[in-house]
Amino acid sequence: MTEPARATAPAHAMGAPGSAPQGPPRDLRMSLRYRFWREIRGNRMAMISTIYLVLIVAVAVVGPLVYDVDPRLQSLANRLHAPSWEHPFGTDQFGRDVLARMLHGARISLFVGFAGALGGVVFGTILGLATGFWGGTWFDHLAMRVVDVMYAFPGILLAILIAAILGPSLFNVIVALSIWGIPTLSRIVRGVVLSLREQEFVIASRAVGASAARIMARHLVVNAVGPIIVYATLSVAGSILTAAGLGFLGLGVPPPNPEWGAMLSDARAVVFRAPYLSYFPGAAIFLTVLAVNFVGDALRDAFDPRSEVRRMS
Amino acid sequence: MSTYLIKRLFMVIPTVWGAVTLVFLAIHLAPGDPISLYIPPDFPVNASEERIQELRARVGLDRPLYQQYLSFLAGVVRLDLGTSLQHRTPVAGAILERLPRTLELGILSLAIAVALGVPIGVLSAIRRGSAVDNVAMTLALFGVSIPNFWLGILLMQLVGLHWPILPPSGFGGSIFTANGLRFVILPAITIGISGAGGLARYTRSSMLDVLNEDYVRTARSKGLSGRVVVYKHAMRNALIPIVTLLGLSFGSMLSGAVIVETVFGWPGIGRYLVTGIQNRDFPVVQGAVLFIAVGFVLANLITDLVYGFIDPRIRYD
Repeated sequence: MTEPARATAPAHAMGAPGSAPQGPPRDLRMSLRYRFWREIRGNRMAMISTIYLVLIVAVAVVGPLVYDVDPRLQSLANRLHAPSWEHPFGTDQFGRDVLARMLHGARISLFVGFAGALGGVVFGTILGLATGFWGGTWFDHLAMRVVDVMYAFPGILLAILIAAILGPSLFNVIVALSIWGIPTLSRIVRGVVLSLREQEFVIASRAVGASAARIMARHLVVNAVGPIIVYATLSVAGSILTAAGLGFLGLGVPPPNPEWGAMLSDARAVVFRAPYLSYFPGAAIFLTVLAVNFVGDALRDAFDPRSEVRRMS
Repeated sequence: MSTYLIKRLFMVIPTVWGAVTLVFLAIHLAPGDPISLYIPPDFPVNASEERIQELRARVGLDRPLYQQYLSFLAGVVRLDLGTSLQHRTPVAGAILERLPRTLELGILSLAIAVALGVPIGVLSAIRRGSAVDNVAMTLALFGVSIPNFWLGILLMQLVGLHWPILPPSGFGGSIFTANGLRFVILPAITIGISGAGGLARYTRSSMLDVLNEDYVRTARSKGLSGRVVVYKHAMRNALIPIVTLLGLSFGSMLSGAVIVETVFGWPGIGRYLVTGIQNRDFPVVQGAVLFIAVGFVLANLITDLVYGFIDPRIRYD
């Protein structure tokens, strides 16, 4: 394993006389990367989770190329076969190969989860920056009331509403997940910005006439990066879970495309005749979400020890 | 206290109004013609433009937007949530009929979540850093991470295939009868476990905050036993923020019920909502989502009122 060797390098650098302890480090991005890495490496579950996540992404990318079976090919003669050499994960009620569906489903489920979380983080951060920077103005009040109203739709309901209006498609699911993620991220970023905004370096850059956009981009985002990354990680977990829920309800990527949540819905229909069908997609969703949560928790302990999870499901 | 109560009651109105407005805006801001959401199942696919205009007029989509908005608002106020495209029955009536089922399931789930989550969180905080804490918090993270629909399917398989002590799915009447209770146990456990994970994590951090307070140190230093300090001084204060969380938890129970009711064939609002999704019956979806959102806002109102009652420091001005 080459990981520890790579990781010890910054540790030496930090331990070198006259570098880390006094004053802020020269390159903030480098130091952040180092702090994240140190936190994950120091936490066994987070380390295992990171390895798992790298593996599952690799499987999603390479798997369908190696195991070259059509995940949409139906074969009524081969319905509900238990796992065997020919079909390592068995077949579903349409005779489709479950391993092939799991591998292609990994691409869709992970892509949707990450893309949806990314959308929520980007728009949530922008909204949080703007409302924090212009905190107390009518704009801030209006935006935060809208966010409050979005919180009135608990859990998956906001995503259900949007997905139901837009109709099922890959892009629409990502839109629904992005909107679903905005309230949490924007509140957190707003909170951080509100506390940063009164600090001397921001006042100083205002005094020298820096534009609002420049202050946000050069001073505020950079200092809010820690909490943003922590909650971005946690929102990936929520996003994958919510995407699977939408898929289970038939609001996800439309069939016959394989998606883990929709596969569980198929498995529900034959829950006693083919119990194995629910094991693969269920375990895949569970382990992926668990791994992301372990990493997110480790990062939060490092960056944001006094915080709490707002959205519970 | 009474001004607090009245002010808090009035704060509910803008939130509910906002939720209704958000739904209306989402329908009309979304790309595409909103009429596509209101096409009944027996409507011909290649209908003439005339038929579509006729439908538009029937649904009211031909009127100016502000009029549509006002009649939408007025409808909600009168608890008129539109008519199901599939069944041609009022959505609000169907929801009210199913409301007791979902409330029973939701309250039982919440009870399970509290009974599991709060003691685990307290124990974890007291034994911070110990093996007990590690195991408990890992389990809590399992609860947060497991998709409730998978957990439901696994529990169904457990009783259906291996351990037939409970019916795997269905509905057996009110949960206050012996038979009805047997049917509610599995879905309630499914939803409760997910909620318990979040509650345990929150309870632990709330408890740790309190255990660091000066008055806890004072209590310890004057020689009170650990048990008295933990239960009389720390826990009673740590539970206060948890009460707020109960309102939020109730929301996640409702949201969990949407999916879990479908897994277990539980005839509640969630099942109704999902049937609406499957039949492309948008009025049903919209009505059920709005109804659950308002229920959630009211649940939060109640917890806030309880909160103001148990914590005399809370003053509203």
